[in-house]
Amino acid sequence: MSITRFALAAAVASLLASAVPALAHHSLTAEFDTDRTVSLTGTITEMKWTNPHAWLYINVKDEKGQIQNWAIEFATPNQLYRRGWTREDLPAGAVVTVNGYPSRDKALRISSLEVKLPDGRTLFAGTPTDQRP
Amino acid sequence: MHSRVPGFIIAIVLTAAGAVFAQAPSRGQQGALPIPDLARTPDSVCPDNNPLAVHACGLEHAKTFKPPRTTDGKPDFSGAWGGSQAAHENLEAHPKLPDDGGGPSVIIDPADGRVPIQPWAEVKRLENKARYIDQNAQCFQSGVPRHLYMGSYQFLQTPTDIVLLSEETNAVRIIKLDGRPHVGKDILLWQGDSRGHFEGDTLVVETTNQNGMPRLDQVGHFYTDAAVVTERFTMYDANSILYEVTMNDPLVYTRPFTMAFALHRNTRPGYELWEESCYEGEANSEHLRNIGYRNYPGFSSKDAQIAKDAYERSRAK
Repeated sequence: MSITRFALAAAVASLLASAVPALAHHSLTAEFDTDRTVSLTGTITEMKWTNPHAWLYINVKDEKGQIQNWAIEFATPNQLYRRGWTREDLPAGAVVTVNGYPSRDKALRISSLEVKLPDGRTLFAGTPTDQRP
Repeated sequence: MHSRVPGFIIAIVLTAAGAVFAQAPSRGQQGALPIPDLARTPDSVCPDNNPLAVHACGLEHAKTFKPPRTTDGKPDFSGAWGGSQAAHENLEAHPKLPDDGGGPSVIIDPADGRVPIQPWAEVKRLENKARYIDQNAQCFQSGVPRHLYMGSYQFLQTPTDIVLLSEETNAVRIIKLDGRPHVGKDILLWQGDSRGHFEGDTLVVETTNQNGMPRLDQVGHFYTDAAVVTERFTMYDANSILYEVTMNDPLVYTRPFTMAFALHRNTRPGYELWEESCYEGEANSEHLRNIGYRNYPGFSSKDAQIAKDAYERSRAK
């Protein structure tokens, strides 16, 4: 499937103020720049349902037309499953849009807040701060 | 754990001492964050978004509540439970930020809600936060009490044991109820050594022998292998436990301090703990090392004594 457009939009964190913050296993701000958000649209190359965080990989075309493979960090697989995600939601080849915080080490990696699927659904990708039943 | 206070720690302690005094937080800031409401928590008779409120309310209701019983007549804590994650972010009051859900302090004693940390240890806390990867990010066990404000867990109870199963890292903690003494002082463990008994309908657990590796929250509060952690579990309605925990580590803190919050039963039909093989894809520590963080080496009571002495010598000059 062809690569879709690249969109990099730095914005204040309040842009996604409704999203619940904080990854359970580590301090988010240490690793990611939570003062900015990034929006990427690309084609899924792989989804790894690994602990402690699931990782989505997507091919994104940059402003020079070069394809870059970005790594998108999610919550734990269990948290995604309990939220209703299934392994069929993110097949290789599907085009998705993800929003999240960019890595501080300038790597092609973001901590995701949400994922928009081809069918129009939006999945919350982070970890809830409140683990009450 | 062997003593391992590198020279840079002592240097930081000495050079930052004045700065810490200058930055020492004022007392009485507990009320700085507004608490949105004190409405009753669903399936519970008490609110739980304010530790002081849940503590007072929980103790009051516990006077008349009749908990479920085991076959040997003890309060039955069996079941799946969970709680707020606010303490994991910061034991003290903290605002909602991209990194945090925010919340009031979980500390009920001292009354100002502040951690009574010694000046030298505040320097170390700041260093922990700025320099070292939280052990939690590397899939190590969370220790006592942090594993009870991380995710969901299940209590299994027999006449001689209460077993705490955490989904996070699939950690297991066994509380012996048969009156045996703690293990020897040279045995140091991530989850420590827990011994419990009942005082009326309250389960009281003393934990020692932790290894100085776990930290209490993401802002670097820490304790050493000399810490004595005393927890009190009291059911105040069918689905709620008042959880009180007192940290006593005289090298690090000026006095013992007590935290309190509610644990709520998971009443979701069919709920079960699932495997969380945390280490399988752990990549965050490599990313954090790329930007200058290091693995946390832990901090023993011997380390603490050396750092404390160095700090006090610097102040005496």
